[in-house]
Amino acid sequence: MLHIIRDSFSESARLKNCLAVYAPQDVLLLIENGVFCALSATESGSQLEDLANKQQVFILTPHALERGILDRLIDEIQLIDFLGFVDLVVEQYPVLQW
Amino acid sequence: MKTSNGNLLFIVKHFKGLAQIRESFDIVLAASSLGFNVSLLFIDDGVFQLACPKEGDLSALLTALPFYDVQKIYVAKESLEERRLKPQDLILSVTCLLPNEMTKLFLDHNLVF
Repeated sequence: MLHIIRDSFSESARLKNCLAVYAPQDVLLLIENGVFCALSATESGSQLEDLANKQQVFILTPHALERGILDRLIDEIQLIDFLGFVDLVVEQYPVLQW
Repeated sequence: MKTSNGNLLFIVKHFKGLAQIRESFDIVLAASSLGFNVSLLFIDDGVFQLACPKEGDLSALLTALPFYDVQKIYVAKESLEERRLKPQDLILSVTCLLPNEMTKLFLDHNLVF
């Protein structure tokens, strides 16, 4: 299953709610303002760091680039482009957008 | 001729894309050209707006603000710190405010959006 987060940590509790029901084989993808969740040295960043050590966590590179935070992300996160996004949706179906 | 109709404060609370922020700034610029004293305050995720990449349309729009007679640009110090940003990471020079200074800022303005 693919979970998609599109809000930052201060916009909503969606990341928290998502992590509460997260299953071991699930995959997480951050898009739009959700990319802010992966900032290093923040609370949400360290949560995602722990998760990314065990499971796959992806971030949509163009959206992180647009927001100027590409060089301040947690190291464990995997960068993907729009084509990678499509692949993820196909591979990880079903998709849950929070 | 310019008349002073009062002090307006616009608050940017979210990170917005180019189209959305352009619409908000149209209002800011209209107010400024009608003679209002306009200031901006960036808080919460709004501070990310000022940390956008230096090249690109978004940054061009933001760096034009001082030319449109926008009086002052304020940033919430706590919002910056929560997001591990420093004033020098921002594309504009700003005044950092503590919560009690923001309270005063709201009182100093006739209208707050």
